Amino acid sequence: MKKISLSFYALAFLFSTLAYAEDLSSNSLEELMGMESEAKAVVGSRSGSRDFLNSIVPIDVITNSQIQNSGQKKLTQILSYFIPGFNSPTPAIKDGSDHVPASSLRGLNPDQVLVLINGKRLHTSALLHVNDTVGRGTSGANLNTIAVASIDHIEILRDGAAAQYGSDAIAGVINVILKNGNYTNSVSSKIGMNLDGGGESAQADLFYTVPLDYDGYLNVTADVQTQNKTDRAGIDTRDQYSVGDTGGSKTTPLGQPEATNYLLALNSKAYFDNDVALYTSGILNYQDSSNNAYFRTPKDVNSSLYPNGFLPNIKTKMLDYSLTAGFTQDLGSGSSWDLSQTMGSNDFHYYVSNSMNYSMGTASPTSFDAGGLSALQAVTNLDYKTKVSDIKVAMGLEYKYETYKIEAGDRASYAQDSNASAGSQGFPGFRPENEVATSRNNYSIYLDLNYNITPAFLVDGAVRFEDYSDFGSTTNYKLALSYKLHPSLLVRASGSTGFKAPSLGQSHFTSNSTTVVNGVLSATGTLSPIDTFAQALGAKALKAETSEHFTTGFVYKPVDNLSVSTDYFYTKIKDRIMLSTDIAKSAQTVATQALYTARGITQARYLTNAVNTQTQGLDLRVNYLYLLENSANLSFNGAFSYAKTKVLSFNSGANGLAASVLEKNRIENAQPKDNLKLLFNYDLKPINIALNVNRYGAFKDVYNSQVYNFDAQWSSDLDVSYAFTKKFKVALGGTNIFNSSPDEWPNVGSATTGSIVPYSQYSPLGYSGAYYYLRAIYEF
Amino acid sequence: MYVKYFLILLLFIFPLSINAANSENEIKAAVLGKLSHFVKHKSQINNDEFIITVFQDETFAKLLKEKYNNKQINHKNVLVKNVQAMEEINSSDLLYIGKVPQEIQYQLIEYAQSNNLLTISEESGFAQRGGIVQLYFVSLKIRFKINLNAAKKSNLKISSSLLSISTIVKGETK
Repeated sequence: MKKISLSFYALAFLFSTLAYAEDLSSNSLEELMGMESEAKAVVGSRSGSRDFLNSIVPIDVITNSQIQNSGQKKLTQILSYFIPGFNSPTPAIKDGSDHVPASSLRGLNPDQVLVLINGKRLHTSALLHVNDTVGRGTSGANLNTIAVASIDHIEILRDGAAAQYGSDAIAGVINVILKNGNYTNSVSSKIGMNLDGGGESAQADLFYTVPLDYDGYLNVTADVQTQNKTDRAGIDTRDQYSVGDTGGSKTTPLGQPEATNYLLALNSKAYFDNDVALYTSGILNYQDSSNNAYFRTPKDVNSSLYPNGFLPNIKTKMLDYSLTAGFTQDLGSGSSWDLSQTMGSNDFHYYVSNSMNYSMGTASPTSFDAGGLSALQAVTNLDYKTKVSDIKVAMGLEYKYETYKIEAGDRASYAQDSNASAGSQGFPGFRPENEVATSRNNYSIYLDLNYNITPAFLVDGAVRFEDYSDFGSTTNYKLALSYKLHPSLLVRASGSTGFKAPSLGQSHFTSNSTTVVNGVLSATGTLSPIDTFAQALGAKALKAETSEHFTTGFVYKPVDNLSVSTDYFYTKIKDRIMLSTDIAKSAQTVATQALYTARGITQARYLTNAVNTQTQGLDLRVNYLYLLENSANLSFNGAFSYAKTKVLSFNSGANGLAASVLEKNRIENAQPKDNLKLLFNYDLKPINIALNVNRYGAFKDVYNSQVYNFDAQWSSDLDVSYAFTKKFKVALGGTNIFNSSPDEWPNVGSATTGSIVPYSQYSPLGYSGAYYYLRAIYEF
Repeated sequence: MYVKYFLILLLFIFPLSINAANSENEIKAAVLGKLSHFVKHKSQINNDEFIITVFQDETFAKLLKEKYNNKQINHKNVLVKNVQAMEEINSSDLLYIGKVPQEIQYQLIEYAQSNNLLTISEESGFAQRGGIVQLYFVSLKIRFKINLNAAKKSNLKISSSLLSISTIVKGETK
């Protein structure tokens, strides 16, 4: 019965649309100027841009008007708003991970997504997520370093593409295209706050374009953002001054950090004779951000320096930039060349205040420079496209040079001057023995062929060879096919291999950190897998993760205003890199215990090629647009994603991971498997209403090897704007406007989990609740 | 369960009239016909048909033939020609220039001006180089740049209503 009724609704839905095809020639010029053309994307094929109905691989495009109407001012928020399966939780009390989002696609890791700006590789963050968050053991690109006002549109390829773009393109590729010279200058501002207190924020941006000859342009975007903390912590049930004195008050804030961001973006193109063009693009982000570690109770502190305990403050300062410059020349007849150089860098520095080094007693300073991390990536690309007979040929060379550096903090931030805990509480500084300055290079060569066997049958094949100076070489392949069964129906399939090179951070990061395990503070050392100490525990030098992909689906566009696509995907990944479990000193031989003692730690861990997984699922997209009689537009975008990851096996060197419920859960269940988005936009000039109804599926978290379920969560975002003139618009809006909250932890008997921290750190929507804002934009 | 609610929701929101999410080429094709209404030839063109000549862009020419089959522009039946060389252009009302090297573009513009043709293209810098109407897309919406001097050189008069919704471009001074 259920099947029949579903079929009825589906048929009724299709028939309701089939009757309404129209001829554009009946529209006036003004009506044509008001229509949005179907978005096109260049990512996924080097043979030129393609629209929805002709895309050989599944691609989503977020358009400029969608970005504007959403009211969102951070790139992670925009992708979360529009793309099902994009996950960017906002953990707290997780050291550096509070300040750099760990964003992922399809439930995979943040470093299994390749990010491009104008088609050029964006470097990853220097920060390696090492705490108990999504993306533990990985470094992804920091998407929030890109000023949103500089963006023309965003392309998201939902397919493996390492054979085209190289490392990291396993879960997909995000290609951010910056505005060209056709946009007008604008200033905009946004202020807002959270319903339940805190989170006050202010943002302002300027987009300014200078026209150059022959439609060349020089665009500059400046963006300033400030936000206050939110606090959604529970009460602290730990003994405060003495045994049995539980206090029962809030001691540790839990929520988004206090942050100030300064962002700049540049995009330019200058045309010269002979179809030569010089282009540049760049981003710059300085972030000053702070959040807290757990409150240190007076009982634990036991120092006259802080008779009432103290709340360590961890401040991070991040400087990030990427700059690309290149020449391109159109040689005619489908031929062109492109030579470019990209340089990107991320510098991430820790400072700790309102803290102390227990081992220094009352001589301890209260503020520390805890050291920092930096990563640099320089990429040289030479690409050539041509047509040989009817075959579109793209080929190219890439040379990449990377460096990674850890800088020690000041002595007090790591010193151990007595038998008490060493280093600044909250975040112990990097030690001189943590310092590293390493580099590697790699070169690659690729060939991409694109051929219409018949007008309806398209084949795209790619092969790419890479050689890395540290772990060796890899060759990857891709074959994609599409066939138009009917002018309105395209079927497509692709198969490819891929890889993710171990980052220099994964191979060389070492640190000491203070974590809370079952309510007890303990010092944990993260070791490099090439460290002899780590290798004594079973570590080996990291090798690349390798992957196999298959996707198949169809695009159906029965009438101009309706398109539907469905794609099944399968991704198998071998040798996924993970942090090992914390290996306790007490379980080791006396000789190995001495190594722990020498490093001042009681637990050790290292990165290892640990696990083989498969991820499969389904993506569904429905796009619908219509014009009401009063010239209003109503558009609807329905998007659904389902991705299920399963551990196939753990490798023999995966020290303790195979038995870890926590780590297996992080791979399989820490991120929602399903995500539904229903986006409506009603445009009745001068009013525009954007509504996003969003459902994140259930996920699971683990405490003390016990798995707990957290139910699916619905939320709604609304933005209502009014254009007072063609150039001036004001909007009121909110995210999670009905203030939905994620499930709370049950009572697990922990002083932190379920007490100070009521919510799971995996919560995809965070836990700061409803946020309301007022924004304005003026074009000039 | 959710699928059912989703489909019911779709049924409720679907309207009785539509707008189109068309490709750029479809919108450009429709716009070409409309633009012709806003451009008047000062000198008489004696074609019995309204001739659109597409230089080199075969895909777009094919689409235009499909869209203007049995259609009229300025009360004339439309003939769409696709040519690969300048010598094939002959008498036309509108010359659409696809992606060609700058040198060829200059030659085509010169030819069009001496033959009083309305030139349209989407190529960067086209209007500044002496083309009359340059099409471009901003936020997926079509817009126009118009070189008035170039129109005058081709003996064309462009209506003020079109100019009011276009960006006016000064041509090259060289």
